[in-house]
Amino acid sequence: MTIAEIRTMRQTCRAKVEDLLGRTSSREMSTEETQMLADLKAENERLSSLESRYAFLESFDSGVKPPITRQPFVAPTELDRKAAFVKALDSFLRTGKLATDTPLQIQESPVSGVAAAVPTDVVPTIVQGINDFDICARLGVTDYPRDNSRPLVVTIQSGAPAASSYDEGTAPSDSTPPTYKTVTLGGARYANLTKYSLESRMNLGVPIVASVLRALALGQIQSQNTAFMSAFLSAVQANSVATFHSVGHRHHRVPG
Amino acid sequence: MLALKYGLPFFWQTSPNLKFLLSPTDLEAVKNTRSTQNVPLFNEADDTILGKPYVVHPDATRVFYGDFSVGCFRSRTPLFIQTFLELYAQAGLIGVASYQWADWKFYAGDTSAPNNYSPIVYTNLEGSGT
Repeated sequence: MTIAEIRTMRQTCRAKVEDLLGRTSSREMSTEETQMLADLKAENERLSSLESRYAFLESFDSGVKPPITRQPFVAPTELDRKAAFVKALDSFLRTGKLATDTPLQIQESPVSGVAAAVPTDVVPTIVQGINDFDICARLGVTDYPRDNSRPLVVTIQSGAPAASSYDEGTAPSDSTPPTYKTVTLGGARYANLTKYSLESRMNLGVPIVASVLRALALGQIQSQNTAFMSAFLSAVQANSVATFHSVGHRHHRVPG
Repeated sequence: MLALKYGLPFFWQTSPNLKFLLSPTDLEAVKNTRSTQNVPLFNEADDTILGKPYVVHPDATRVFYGDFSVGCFRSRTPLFIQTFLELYAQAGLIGVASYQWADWKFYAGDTSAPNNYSPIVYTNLEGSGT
């Protein structure tokens, strides 16, 4: 049922009342007509109540009406606007951190030659003087790409139980489990930072943003390569009995 | 180099992932070396050392050989880039930082196991130290 239908029913009810009142305007109502008027009155009250309830129901479908925004009666002056803007900008920029270390500036070291006056003399190859590759990827180490640094335990089965021969009626009674070794991968955070000046960013001679991003990524690879090699050497040296072979001598016994 | 190749525990010797890892200096030394059978250790035709591929990097302070997929494990997150547009704005600078979590662990044999087999072996071509 809808409000429109309820209103139609009320209109029908009204027409009946009007008809009844018209027919009895010059005489007293009979008992039956009095009862009919009472019934139409009750029907009208019922429909009125129903209409208010369905109005509430249909208000869900009408959506939220936007609040009315009234402009200030008195507009702020230009001076007020400027003061408010300066105050907002000041609180936005003043973080308490000052760049007092070594930013990348094109008119000073380390790229002092790339002054704004001579941008067209610069060739992009100058930003490709460094290079490196990921040692781990080249070596094919087992990689665990992850989105967190929670400890990850890797288990290696490093030994099997020895078997012996048994005569009839005999069998091993003691359990000999395999040997396992576990390593736990965590995660140290490697980070680097470069600050570049707005002037260097606007210089067209050097794609400074791409250069900085590339250098940051390369710096990560270089540092992680060094850390990997250092940790790797320590690990193999810790078990040099099994891993080290001296030059020209095969002092290590070949297992098996 | 021969001691490395054949000193590796025998069941690792059939691994398809065997590689050498050495520095440019050590590679130069290997290229100028022949075995007692007068066979060059380095094969120019297929770019291998004793028939095995190699990786060269200056950070390699020794010569390593073996199956690195068994001996080395790495955990690494993506490289995150963070741009500081406002932090250094007073000085007219924009900061860009990168960060990444990484860790490595290794399996170089197990001294507690009945057979202390390592999938990776190494040597020091300079002849001093380990």
